[in-house]
Amino acid sequence: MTRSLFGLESEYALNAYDGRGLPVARESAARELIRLATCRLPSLPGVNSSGLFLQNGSRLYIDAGNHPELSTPECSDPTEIVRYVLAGERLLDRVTTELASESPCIRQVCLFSCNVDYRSRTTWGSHESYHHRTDPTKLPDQLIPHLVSRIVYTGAGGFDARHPGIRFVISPRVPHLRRAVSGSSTSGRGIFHTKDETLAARGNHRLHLLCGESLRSHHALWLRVGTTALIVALVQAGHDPARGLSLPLPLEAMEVFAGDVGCSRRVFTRTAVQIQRQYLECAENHLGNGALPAWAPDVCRAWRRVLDQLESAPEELDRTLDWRIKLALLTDHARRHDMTWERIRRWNTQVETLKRAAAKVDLTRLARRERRDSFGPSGWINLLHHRAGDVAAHRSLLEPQLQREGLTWDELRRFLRLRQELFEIDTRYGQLGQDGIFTRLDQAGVLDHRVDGTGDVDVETATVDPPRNTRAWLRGRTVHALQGTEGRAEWAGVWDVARSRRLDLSDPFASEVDWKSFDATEFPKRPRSRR
Amino acid sequence: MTQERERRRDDDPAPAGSPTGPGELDSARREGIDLLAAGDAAIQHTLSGDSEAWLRANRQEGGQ
Repeated sequence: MTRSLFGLESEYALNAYDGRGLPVARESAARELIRLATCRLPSLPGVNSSGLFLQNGSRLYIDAGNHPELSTPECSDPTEIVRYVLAGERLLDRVTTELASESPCIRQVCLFSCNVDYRSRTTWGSHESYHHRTDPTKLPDQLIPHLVSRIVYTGAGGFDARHPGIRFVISPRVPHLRRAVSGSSTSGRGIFHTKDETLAARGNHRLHLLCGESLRSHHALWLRVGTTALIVALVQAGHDPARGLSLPLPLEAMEVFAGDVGCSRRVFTRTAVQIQRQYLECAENHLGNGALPAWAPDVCRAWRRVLDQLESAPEELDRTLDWRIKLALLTDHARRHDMTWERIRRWNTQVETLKRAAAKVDLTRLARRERRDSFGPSGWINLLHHRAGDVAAHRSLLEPQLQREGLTWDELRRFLRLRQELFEIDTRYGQLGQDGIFTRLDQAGVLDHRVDGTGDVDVETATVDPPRNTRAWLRGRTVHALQGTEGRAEWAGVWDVARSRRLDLSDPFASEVDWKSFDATEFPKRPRSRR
Repeated sequence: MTQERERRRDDDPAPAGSPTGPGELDSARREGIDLLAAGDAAIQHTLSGDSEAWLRANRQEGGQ
């Protein structure tokens, strides 16, 4: 039976406030969070990387943008991924709660599981890593059609941050992708990442994917990792799951699928669901022949079910998939403001025209008056009342068109206000803790997204114990044993500095302790705690 | 629970998308109404009241 190994990185937006409710500098809050985590969580600092390796095998650190990031330990079952993401969030919640109560300058800390900021129009990742032992150059062709089309069940749901109006997309990260294949994770971001870090040796490779999004639905997360790991396993076994699925313009195809909430648009004769069906059928054809891991039948059943529902009864997924849950909530919220998607579509057209007109006007003076770096609703409204220049001309030109569409200028103010509210709702959906919209829905019992094996006791256990079937077990137990010493850790080893020995974890499935000697005098000293 | 739910659905002879009985329709409708009611309550509890200011104050820098 094939053994799988994979991991997930979750990056969280961070906001902290002082006793007067004013924002605390994010860099300072992130530094305080790591300082407290160092004191409270059994851990060892990294050797070459920043942050902490925890006793449960995971890693906590601060990434670009001062975002706390948790990498799960190496897992062998998609259920473990869900369990360790939840365990990491539980640990983060404990640290941030204590931070808010003990810090002299921080009274509240908020973390958001999302990947897009609508104000700065930037994105950050929820990267995936999959172990494999195949030729890495084979993977892009086999995986890109899957990554492009899986968003129909892995999409977080949200808005196209580049659009001046309101454009709901299944996967809000897609508009930020720039190419099909990239070597960088921050510039020219690709669907497929070619980084093949040597986190392991002896023919083991790490496939690193950039295009995924943080999810709140356990079922969607379980499917995202489970289906992708099955395809990696099929390729490793010499199969050709993407036969005939080549997409000449994958980024464009992904944008089409991301904007198609009906999941019915075709790219080169196939819908996203039809592309997914080919992968699924390939996996089903190889169940039980040793090419796929033991959990494959469960994933295939759920995979088939979700594809059937997307084609025939998508409303059945309104309580299960993140993008369907959000679409239901956002549609209802817009309706409460007398806005339908049809009316929003009409306003989008007008706003796009106004945006083009605004681009021709010198906005420096207006921006200075607004005392801000970009235009929100009030900026737009001021612009429309600006009587000089091209905007006024376009406004008079637009009026007959607005009348034909049954739109009024007064409604624009409501439209732009709604736009900001929808952005806040999307962000708050992923807020960790009791104020998060997803959390409140879950506690109200109106969702159907949970996965077996991720109950309260399972998650609590996972805050302490590493997964048992990968090298994470040895690393986590050794971190636990060496906490408080000068020891250091990395994914592929743990350094017991006092005894001048290194635990070799270059085998990703290492299960036996293998200490090797090293020269401790060449080893960098552990930075002193500030406490 | 995912696996239990899938096994239960595999036992269901009706293929996905096939007509459902009035009882199931009522149940689905009720679930939809409950979701939207809970969603509205959660949104009302959570929204800041000035989304533009909230988004500005909580602006994030990008990353990977």
